[in-house]
Amino acid sequence: MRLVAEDVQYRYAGSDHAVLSGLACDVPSGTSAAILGPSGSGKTTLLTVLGGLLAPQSGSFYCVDENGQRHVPRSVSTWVLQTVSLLPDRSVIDNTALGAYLDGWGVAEAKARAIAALADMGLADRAEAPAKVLSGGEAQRVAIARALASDRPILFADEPTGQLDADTTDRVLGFMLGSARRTVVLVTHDETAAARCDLVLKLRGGALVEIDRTVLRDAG
Amino acid sequence: MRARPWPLSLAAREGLLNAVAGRWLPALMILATAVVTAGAGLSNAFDVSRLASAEADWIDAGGYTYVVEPGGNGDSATVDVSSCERLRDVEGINGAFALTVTDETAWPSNAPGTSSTFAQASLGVYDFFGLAAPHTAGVIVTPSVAESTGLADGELTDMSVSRHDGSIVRREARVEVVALDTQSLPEALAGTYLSTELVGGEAQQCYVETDAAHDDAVRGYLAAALASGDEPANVRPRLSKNTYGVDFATAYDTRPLGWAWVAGAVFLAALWAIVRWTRRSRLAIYATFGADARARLVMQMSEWTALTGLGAIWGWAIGVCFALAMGSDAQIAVTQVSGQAAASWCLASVVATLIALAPVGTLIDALKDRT
Repeated sequence: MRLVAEDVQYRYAGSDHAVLSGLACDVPSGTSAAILGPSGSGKTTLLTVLGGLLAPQSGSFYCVDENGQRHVPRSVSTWVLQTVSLLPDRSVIDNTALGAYLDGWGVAEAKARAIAALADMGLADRAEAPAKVLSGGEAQRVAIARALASDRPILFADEPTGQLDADTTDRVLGFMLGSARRTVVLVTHDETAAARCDLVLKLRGGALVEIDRTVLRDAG
Repeated sequence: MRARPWPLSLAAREGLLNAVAGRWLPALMILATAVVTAGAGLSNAFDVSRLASAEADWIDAGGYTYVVEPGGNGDSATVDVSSCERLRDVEGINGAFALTVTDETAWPSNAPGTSSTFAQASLGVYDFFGLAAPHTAGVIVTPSVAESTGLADGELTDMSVSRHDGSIVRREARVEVVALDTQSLPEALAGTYLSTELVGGEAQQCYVETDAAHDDAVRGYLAAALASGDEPANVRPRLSKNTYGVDFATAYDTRPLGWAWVAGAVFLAALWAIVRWTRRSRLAIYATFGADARARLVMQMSEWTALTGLGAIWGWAIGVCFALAMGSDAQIAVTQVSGQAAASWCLASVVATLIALAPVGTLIDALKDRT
């Protein structure tokens, strides 16, 4: 699923300046892109615009499949959010299976996929625990497991490894970026993590200042 | 662009799972709903029971009974006994009998020293007071007479009748005693023997009983039905409407407690709005994963229905049981508690639906302020 943004401008209500201004980018299908930039540069805003959570005041964005069919981003994407995005009263496996339910899996299959994803995140033994008792790092890995349990072709992630140690980050990124079919867009401050993506979109002051094609460059 | 909607079955299942996942909040909603529905229903059951009891007492005392007298001014004016008896066939009239209080006195053979006023009534008097007509000639004995003479229901006695001055003994007859045990006896008949000798001719009065539903129509009908020539009959209620200080129909319609269901619904809806506000970030999570307004509506309403439905059933059961235990009539208990509970829940559900349709706000804001 390819993601395209053209001349996007976004300004929060009550703000006198645009967070995103004339921004354009193109993330090809099946590639991974990291959005890098200093705080306040508009990284999360760009991510949420690409994911259809915020509508830009001007410009356009869309996601299109290999057949040229356009899709509503929210219908074809899954998310790992910067904030704790779990349902606190529900169990870890319930939270994780939500990703698979959205793909139309039945209860048994969705829970099997959830268990597999939790195992990848090293959390299989916490499956029945309520989400509210998890540590920050565990909650973040459950959110990632929820995304991995889904087959949706786009994964948006906002600081997905912000609360993880280096070893765990390395392993988690391996799972997130491992699918050749999935388009991944992640916001990060971690340049090492960004370097593992196919594209690095560097933002400053709401504008895209550099596109670094890491894989293409390394391959070339 | 093609949007793939959330499966509504998934939305409903998520709502139900959310309903049972929490501990205190679902328990609070169930408890609050039970208290509201039971409280509204119970208070109304008591209120209506009190009113119904007062109305029943009023009816027993002669409410919805009219005394029809000749319209003319002369002492000789009368009402036609047959016309009065035929009123029993009119829709809305539950009973009617003609009455003449004579200037005679009577006494039974077993109590010769006693003497009570002798009145004559048409046969409709038996139905009017819910009495079984005897197979032979009968005399209805009012409670005070029964007490003073020792006459008992079903007893056969010889009655003697004479003028008040005792000078002329008109007749003696063997009759079966029919004891009357009712509060609704007109004052004019207290302490009388009531013979059912009037089978035609004329009488002084016609007593007519109707009910609340036919009260106005019957009252309007009587004046013409028992008119004497061009002179409409004089129709007066046996008891003043104000005997108990209330008009029961109006009193029922204007009960402040009748609106308890609205207050209950507002309370439940307000509570749900607070719950919904505290859970806005969870809704934002669902929205982030593609749950559109329809899916969020189904999700919230399934949770609402599960929690408040259970609470309403619980409250209904508590309300009915307590109302019955505290002496409320069963029909009143069931109808009042059911009506209040259903109305309160339905109105609250409408408001809850509107709350569920409200936008979740900016998703980023909702997620960022998550605590």
